[in-house]
Amino acid sequence: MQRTAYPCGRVAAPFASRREWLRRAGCGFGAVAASALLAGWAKGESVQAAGMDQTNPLAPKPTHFAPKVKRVVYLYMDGGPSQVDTWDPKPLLSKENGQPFKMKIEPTQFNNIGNTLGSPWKFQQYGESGIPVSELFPNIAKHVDKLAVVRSMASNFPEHTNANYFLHTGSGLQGRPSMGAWMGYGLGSECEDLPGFIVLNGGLIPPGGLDCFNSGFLPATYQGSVFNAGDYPLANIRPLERDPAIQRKKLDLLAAIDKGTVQSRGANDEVDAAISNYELAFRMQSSVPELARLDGESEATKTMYGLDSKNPHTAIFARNCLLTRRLLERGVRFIELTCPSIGHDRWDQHGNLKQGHEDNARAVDQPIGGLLTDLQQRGMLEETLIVWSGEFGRTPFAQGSDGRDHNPFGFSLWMCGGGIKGGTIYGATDEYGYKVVENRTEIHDLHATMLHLLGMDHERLTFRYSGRDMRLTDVHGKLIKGILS
Amino acid sequence: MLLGATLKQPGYESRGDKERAQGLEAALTAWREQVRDIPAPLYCLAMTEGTPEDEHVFIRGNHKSLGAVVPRRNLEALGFASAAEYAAAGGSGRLKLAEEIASAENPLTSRVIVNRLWHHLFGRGIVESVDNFGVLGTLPTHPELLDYLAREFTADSWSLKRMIKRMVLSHTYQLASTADAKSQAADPANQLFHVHNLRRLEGEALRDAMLAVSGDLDLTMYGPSIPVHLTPFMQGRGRPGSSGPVDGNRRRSVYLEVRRNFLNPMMLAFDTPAPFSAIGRRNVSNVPAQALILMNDPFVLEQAERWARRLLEIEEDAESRIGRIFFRAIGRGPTEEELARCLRFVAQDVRQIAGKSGDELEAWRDLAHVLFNLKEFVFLY
Repeated sequence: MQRTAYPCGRVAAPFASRREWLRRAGCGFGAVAASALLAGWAKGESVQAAGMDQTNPLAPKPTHFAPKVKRVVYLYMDGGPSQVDTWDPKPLLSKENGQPFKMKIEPTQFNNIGNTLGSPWKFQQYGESGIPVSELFPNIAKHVDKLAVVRSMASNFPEHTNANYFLHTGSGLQGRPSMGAWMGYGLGSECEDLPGFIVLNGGLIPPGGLDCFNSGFLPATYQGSVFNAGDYPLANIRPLERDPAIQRKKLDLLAAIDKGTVQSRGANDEVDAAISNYELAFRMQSSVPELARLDGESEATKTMYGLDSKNPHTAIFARNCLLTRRLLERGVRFIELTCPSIGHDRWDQHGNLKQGHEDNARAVDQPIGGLLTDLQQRGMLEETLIVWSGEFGRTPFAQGSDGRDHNPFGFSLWMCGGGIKGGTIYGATDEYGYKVVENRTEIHDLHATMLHLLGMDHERLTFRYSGRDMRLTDVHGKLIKGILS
Repeated sequence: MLLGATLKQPGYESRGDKERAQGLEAALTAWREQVRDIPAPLYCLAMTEGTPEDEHVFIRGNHKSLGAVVPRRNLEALGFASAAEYAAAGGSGRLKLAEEIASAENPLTSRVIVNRLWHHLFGRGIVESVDNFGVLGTLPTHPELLDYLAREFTADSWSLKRMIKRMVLSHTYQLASTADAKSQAADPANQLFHVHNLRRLEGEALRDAMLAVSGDLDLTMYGPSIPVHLTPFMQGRGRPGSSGPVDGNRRRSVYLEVRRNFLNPMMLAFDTPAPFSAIGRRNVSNVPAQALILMNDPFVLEQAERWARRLLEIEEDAESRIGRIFFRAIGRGPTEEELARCLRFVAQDVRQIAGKSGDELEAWRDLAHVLFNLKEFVFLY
């Protein structure tokens, strides 16, 4: 059989397929997006000329449409908080507490199925909306009229590592770009001397590791930077010279020789960018430690967040919540907070639910409450999106006698901030809180909604990789319209 | 082992024949020596025939949406053997598939691999979309050259090493990246490779270059990989109990351990791909984190210091030493202005600030450190 010498042999032929037509009708989907962008520009939408900067990958870029928020805070509740003990009260569980579970049970991770387990915590209605909140979160409860509680989230994975990748990257497999990387790629950075995607490490890096925060096939520019506690939170931020003046002399000599190179070899965008990176890096050496110094914050603010808490885990998370506000002020695009290590386990209470969830909740409740209050007082909440979620929920029946196993079939999360309809409950699980029965939402929908609020159409935010225009939402995702204002 | 222990039991000799015991002991020693001489087995991956199965078509790629069962075979549209031929060959068909893929008659495989080599060496493939030779890919700029190389490659026993040698000995590879105005005007995008594309060193090459320049590089081949050096920023489940050495035992980067969840931060910042899928073309990013690493990473400063130590072992004046380090790092001597600046740097700048405690070594280490940060070091002109 004759082999076509090159696939291009067919290119000159009439449109062979719909795909080909799209490709040739103005260089494909990318061009469709670009022309839509330019049309938006002409209409005076939120497109800025700065977004046309081709040389700096971190320059702010035009959005697809007017954004509701500029920045995102992801409060990552690692391990899978139990929906029926937090945001989705189920009185029937208490009524049938100790009895065999009456629904058909899917296999669980440990398959150590116990009886129906009522929540050890009471729920109370708060605010004008009257959304019930468990007594685990007395501080967040005060903000309930700002929250949209989604009770109908489902994940595709019942195990931490895959579920973490799925939540963070839209794929259960390792190696895809994290949502923060996608947002940096789509929007660029508003911040000159800090990375656009920062992970504030409370002590627990989720199972799956740092690849929950990587840039995958996107350029390394967009990878998440992990900030640890301490005076030098970012890697390589601390000069090794015994005196800062020596480093300055080095950089001056470097700049002089590099300048000569550019003169003799000719200018080049990449080399120019690499040279200017040194000045930025130099500034980061002082701006990052300055950011981590909290002496300028009032005692009242620190107390509101819980920095003076006697519970060391609360104090750690409080510091990271306060740092979050400081990062938001500096224009950092995507900030994710990981949980403090409370000494036994993340929100992953296969046993001893009561103590585990109480300790985890105590570490985060006051700091999150403080963050919401502070952002509102400073008028920053409206331009920020805050998401609180785990990677899945927990079973309404016991694992053993006093724990709960993983449950991807229905769990709760909440969102708050610009573009979010506060005081909303969206979707529902069955009367036991086991599976979604109304307005099912998926992780892809969460991603689509986050991008939407940032002014991006999740179907148009693409990156060509491996012959395909890849998306954070792959071929899925629909807006969760019911929570949008 | 049991026998050895028995022989050592007190009173064993009295219970039995002394000569017999000695004989046994001698046999045991001989056996031990023989065992010691048996070389340790070398393990390698091998393929074996599995249980062949035909798969359903996944409608729109969905494994839950099944179409008809299709007999296993290669892509007939590309001229490979039919399902009937595959069935006639018997077995799973894996051997036949492998033979078709790696056949000199099949130009697809050899074109793709020589194009990747070309991309690696020249900064751009003859087909720019190295991972996609299909309708969505880009056209080759030099189709005849691509075919020529592919044919040479298969004719030369598919030797990657010899193909690389062939490419780097070409005139095109030896071009500089500085163009004259006329050719620049004629080929502004360098579609014709009239100059070399300016390239940033890849993460591994950058690390190797520092080791080579400092004189530290250990070119030993083979052996187990060197455990990854862990920083406080590399946390998470499965973190190794102990950290590897900062300098990776001075071995080439190819011998550094790649631990999936604890990847080398310098490699990550310089776009060494995460090891999850095949990547024909790496990203080339340009970010402050790279400058921070070259400025403040202990590995970089350590290499600068080791280089300085070696420099100071050679007795010479400052001028010739500066000439030496320029040549070693970037393959050219310093201009007059550069020389003057460097002289002032080592003789005055560092020592004025560091005061009496500032020594010769520190000054030269700091100059060496500057050299590692030069754009001419990081980029290939």
